[in-house]
Amino acid sequence: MITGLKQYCGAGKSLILRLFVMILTLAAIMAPIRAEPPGTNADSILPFDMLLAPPSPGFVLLGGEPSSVERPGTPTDLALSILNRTEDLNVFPEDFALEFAPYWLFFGRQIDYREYEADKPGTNLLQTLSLSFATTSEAAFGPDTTSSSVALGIRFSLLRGDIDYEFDSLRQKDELLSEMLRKNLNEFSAELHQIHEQDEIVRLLREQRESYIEAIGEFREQLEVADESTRALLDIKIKMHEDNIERVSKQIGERMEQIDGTFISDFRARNKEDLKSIRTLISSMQFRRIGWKLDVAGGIVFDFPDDHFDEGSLSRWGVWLTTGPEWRHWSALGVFRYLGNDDDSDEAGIDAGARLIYDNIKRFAISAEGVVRNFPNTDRSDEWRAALQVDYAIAKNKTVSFTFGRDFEGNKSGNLLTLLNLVMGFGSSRPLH
Amino acid sequence: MSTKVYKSYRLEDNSQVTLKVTIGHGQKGITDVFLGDRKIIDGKLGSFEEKLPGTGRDLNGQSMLCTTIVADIRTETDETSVRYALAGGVKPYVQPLQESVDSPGDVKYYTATFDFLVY
Repeated sequence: MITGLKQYCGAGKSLILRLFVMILTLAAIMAPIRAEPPGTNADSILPFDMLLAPPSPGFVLLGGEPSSVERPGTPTDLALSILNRTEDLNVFPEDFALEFAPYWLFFGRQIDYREYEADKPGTNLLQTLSLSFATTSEAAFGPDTTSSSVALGIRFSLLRGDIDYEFDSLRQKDELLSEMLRKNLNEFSAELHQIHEQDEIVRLLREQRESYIEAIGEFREQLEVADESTRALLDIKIKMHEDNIERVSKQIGERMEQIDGTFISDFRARNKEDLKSIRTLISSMQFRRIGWKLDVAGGIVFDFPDDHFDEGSLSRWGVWLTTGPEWRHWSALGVFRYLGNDDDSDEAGIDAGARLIYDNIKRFAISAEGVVRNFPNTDRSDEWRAALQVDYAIAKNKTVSFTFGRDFEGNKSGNLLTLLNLVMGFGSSRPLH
Repeated sequence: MSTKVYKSYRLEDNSQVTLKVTIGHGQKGITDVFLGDRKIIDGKLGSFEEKLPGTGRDLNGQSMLCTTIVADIRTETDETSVRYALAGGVKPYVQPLQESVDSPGDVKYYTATFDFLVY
């Protein structure tokens, strides 16, 4: 699971509170580093594509996202974002987004690598489908209200590009991995097969079961010539022996489970170095997708004035397309978004924007974006947003990004955009998107 | 869930048995299969479907050991899974197995043992 903590920077009011939040943040960064297993060199290889996590669609509608032009990607099973919109780092985060990929969660067992690798619209849609639930407090509506908002979002890719096997020798690494896995499995299966064959308990149980099967065969032969009363008795005997077969089979299964469990632990311990080499190789493999990307996203926002559930109503909604090519080091993405507003139709807007991203691959990415917002129902002049974002990998699955620029009008603290965004992965190298 | 399964699989004399192995969660997996003393599948990459040699009469009393190693190559998840399915016997049999790796990039070993019985 990945947690994103975003902090608005600004002039400090309470040094103690700010220090406290910083200490908590640092503790959160350090804890997962300590938790990494022995033999994992966290800083040696930093797959970067996972670090450019786009905001949940819900957060885009609620405002304050680090990038307005989201980068397409494959969703993780489950992700939690925690945002701190409060100024000056003085208050704990109150905004959350839960995003999950239903197809991977419920049908992941049926998706093999060939399907994962493919770039077909139908498959892409299912595999990249993510649903999100986001909530935010009054910060989105100004200091004089205590309203909360809840956003429901959806996102999926129709085009996601092909895995670039030429990048960073992925093809050679993939072949080497297959070779290492084959060698390891060859030893594993040969040893386990021998253990199964030699286990005395399993042998005796199989013999016992065989005797029941033979007896059933004899009873069936007798059935052919038996009279009515004997036939009933033979049927009972057959049933009893079938039950015995089930019972003994269950005992064999329990014994097999015990043998296999012990053997797997022992084999892992004996092959610790080989498994470490495999882990190192895998951590150096980057399954980057290049080619044309096309993402569809949307969401709806419900406002709850004064935090009263009964007064909740649909206020805003939006749908948008993000598309463009991604090359090895460069991406050029465009977004076209319609934002509806049921409370005030004058607030309905159309966004058109672009983002250019440069990936350094190992450590950092830098991107610039510009978005123009038009209000088709009023004479109000267009608004615009321009931002520069730098993402830096501080460790494996931990990154910090800084966004600086000019936001759309209407934020309570003006339109200066200065965001510090910390993205952390717990227990896995999973990307937030 | 588990990574191990045992099943006594009941056949008819003339059964033609098919083994289907699916490596799930988009991960990379390799499978070996022993039928009796003979290795009939050696280092097969990915998901596959294979018809076993002989009929139910030939397979009766034999044991089949399937072992699969699955590597967690996807950064989006730590889950690994293997689905073993048999068809052609008295009843079709499907057993999905699933477990997450302890650390990203690790491997999981899956084992499935089938005893073929005709009675």
